[in-house]
Amino acid sequence: MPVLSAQNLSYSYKTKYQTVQAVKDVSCDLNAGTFYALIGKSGSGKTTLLSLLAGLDTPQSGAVLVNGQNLREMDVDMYRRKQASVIYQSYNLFPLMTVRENVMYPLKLLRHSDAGAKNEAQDALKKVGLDESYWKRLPAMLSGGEQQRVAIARTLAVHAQIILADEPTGNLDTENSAQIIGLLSGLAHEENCCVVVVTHDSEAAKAADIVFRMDSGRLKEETA
Amino acid sequence: MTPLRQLLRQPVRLLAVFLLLGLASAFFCLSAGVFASAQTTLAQVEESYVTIGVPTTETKDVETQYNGLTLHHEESVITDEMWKYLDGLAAEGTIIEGGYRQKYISAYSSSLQSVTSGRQDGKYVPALDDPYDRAIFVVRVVSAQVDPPMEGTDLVNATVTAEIETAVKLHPDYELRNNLRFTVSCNSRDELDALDIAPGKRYLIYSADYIDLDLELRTTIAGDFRCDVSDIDLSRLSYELTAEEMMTEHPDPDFKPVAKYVTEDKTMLLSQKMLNQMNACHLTVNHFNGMYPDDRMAVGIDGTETDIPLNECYLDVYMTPLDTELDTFLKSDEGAEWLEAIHELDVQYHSVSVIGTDLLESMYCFHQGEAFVTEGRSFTDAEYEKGACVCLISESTVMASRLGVGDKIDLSFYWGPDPLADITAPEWKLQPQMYSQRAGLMGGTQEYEIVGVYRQSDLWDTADYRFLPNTVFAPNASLPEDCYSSRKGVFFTYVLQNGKVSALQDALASQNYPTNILFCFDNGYSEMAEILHGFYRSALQLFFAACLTAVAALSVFLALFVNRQRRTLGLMLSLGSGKRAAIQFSWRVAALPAVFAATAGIIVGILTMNVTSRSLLSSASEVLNTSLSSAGAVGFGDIGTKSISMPVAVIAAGVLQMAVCSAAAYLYLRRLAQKSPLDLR
Repeated sequence: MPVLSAQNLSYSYKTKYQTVQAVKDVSCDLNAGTFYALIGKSGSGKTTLLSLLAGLDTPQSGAVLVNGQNLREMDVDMYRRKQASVIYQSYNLFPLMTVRENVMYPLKLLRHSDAGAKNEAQDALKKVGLDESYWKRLPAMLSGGEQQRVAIARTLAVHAQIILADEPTGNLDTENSAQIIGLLSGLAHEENCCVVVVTHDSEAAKAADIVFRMDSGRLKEETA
Repeated sequence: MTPLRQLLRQPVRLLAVFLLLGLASAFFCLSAGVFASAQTTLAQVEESYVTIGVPTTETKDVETQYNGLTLHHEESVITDEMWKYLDGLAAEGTIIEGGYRQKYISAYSSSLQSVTSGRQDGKYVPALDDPYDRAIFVVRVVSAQVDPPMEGTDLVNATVTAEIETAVKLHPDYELRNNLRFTVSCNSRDELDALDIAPGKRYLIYSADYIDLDLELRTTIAGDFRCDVSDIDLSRLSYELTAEEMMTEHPDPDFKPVAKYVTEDKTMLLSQKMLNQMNACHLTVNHFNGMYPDDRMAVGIDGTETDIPLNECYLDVYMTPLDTELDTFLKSDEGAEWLEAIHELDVQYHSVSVIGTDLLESMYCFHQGEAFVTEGRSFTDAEYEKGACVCLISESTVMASRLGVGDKIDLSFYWGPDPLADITAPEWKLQPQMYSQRAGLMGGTQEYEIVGVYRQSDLWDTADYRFLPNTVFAPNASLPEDCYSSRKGVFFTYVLQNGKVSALQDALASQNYPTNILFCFDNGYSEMAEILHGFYRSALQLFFAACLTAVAALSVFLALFVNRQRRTLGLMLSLGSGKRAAIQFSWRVAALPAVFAATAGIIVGILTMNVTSRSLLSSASEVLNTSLSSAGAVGFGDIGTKSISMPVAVIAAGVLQMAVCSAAAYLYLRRLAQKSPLDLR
């Protein structure tokens, strides 16, 4: 059974001048242990589809199934807390929390004890290559690549089954991009996660097991 | 990851927000405090100041024709038409708030000891001591002389000198003198002859108008020497007069100096008449029972005639030969009525005037501070309304009676045998009525609590609006219905709306009435009110500016600080924290600076409020170019430097600002949380 399925998803939104049909009747099955790349031109609906899969938006028609269960019938907060983790292009770290506190935050939402959360956060940070010297720094004191690693560590710490990344290498140089893609690929293949990466980066697309292309709101699978 | 830690990690922003909100809060709190202070001060002044209009006692000579005769009598310059117009204004209420009428009645209380003018050094005025100057003595006649008969009357007088053997009843304020001179007034020659007044004989006399001639002499000398009566030592008298002293001119052409009172600084010449006053006293003996025609009936206080002959209202005692011991006589049948006379004077010495009022401060003396409460309090509105049995007593009566605030006294009301005759006499100065054992006390005794003690600047001043110290004040409604009242002197005052004196004068002028028929006293309210209204306007403007500043600061706070929480809020939501938890966390971060700022604002507001109020007040005073000197006369002298402090308003303003900022931040964050987390990034 796919970890995550989209069934005839459609989503439109209104701008000041027009109604944009961002996602049109999209269906797909996404499995654990697979690294997916979602490519397409700007405005093709990639990020919107990712938001629908993450439960950040609600489709006008169709359904998102998580392990066969309709997301509409689930506790969406709990879904985002425990099962799905989102990584953004702009890192999205709490600016006034230290690196460690940022990673601890979702664990605290899951009611881990302070000590337990701290240990798990530190382990996750070590896994993404951030040693103790980084833990008490604020995000602003880190480079873009380091911040994105913190975001990945946050995902690692909660052992999310589904990782949805929106252009995670968009702001990074080639070297850092490769490292981040490596980490995400590792999450898919070593941690058995379902990793979906929206990207313009061809290197990232090459690293994917399956590549989807969005074109005017419609999804097409391409051979990796 | 507490909100406080979040804040401390952005010290510059925290400081900026704290300064922004803190300054706005301090300004808001301060202005609220000043505004409340102005409002309260103004309200208190409105409440404390009473403007009164005292009707003039001026009279005019009115000529009338009766049976070909031209009759003259005095009438008040205030005509019935004027009274009607003034009462109309009082009913309307816009210029005159109302008319306050005092009531009068006499009362006996065994707990109260009356005081006389003889008690106070240098103030002895025998006429004011009526009716406490009634006495009963056993005397031995030294000489007696029948006065020439008076035309048109059967009354026969005899002038008697005697030695006082025993003072059976004498007011405790008076000293007993050895030499007595008295006039006995009999209703007929037969009555006088029956007394058989002769030197060496003993008599029991019931007298009125006791005059301590010795004290009168000492008071005269003390007045001349400007010293205390107790300092007068009559052993300083010298009878050796110089020729120059014998020739000294005196305003009284009959004055013949025979002695002099000498001190180191001054000499006073004395006549023989004055010397005769030494160790002497004088009184009058009247036989009231039988003095009036048989068909003259007693008249009640309402002016209606009763069916009791006036003669019967008096005991039939005045002077009787005493051949036995006093005790033996009093036990005899003849002495029974004398025992009643003794009791009559017991009651008299413990009698007072009771003045009922609906507003003590409406009375001229209390309004102008010539009489004031020194201990305890005045009456409350509820006491006036309910007619509570509470009273104010003069300081001298309280001291003489050894009473104090909180003590209770029983009052038994009474009227004298001929009340209207006493009250309408020109020499009547609100003294209690003469008590008559035959007329007795009115039924029922009422217990009154002493709630206050008053003092008068001059106890024995007899001006129209004054009262003597044996006067007890009580709420009008607590007194019996049968009381006396009028529109004169202490009995009537109009209370004006504050600041309406000019309006009243204009109204009177519009009717072509003299504007001086009411003397208005506002204790400087008009000047004070002008300053305070200026203060109030300034405080209002300040408060308005502070409100605008607070709104502007709130807008900046929301736009530049609360709005910055949107990213944290969005991230929390995207991580699945739930709206409520995310809003609460962000709200705490946003609200904490508002709490700190409001607290600081309250502290700054309290510390600077009084200085600012004072400054605004003095500015208002300078702008209006008026002084506060008149306010000082009525106890508001400190208002220029110390308006009423209102820290509660400062605290309330701070709490309000804190609440508004917190609520606005919460609503703003809640609105943000409705958006998709993606839109909040």
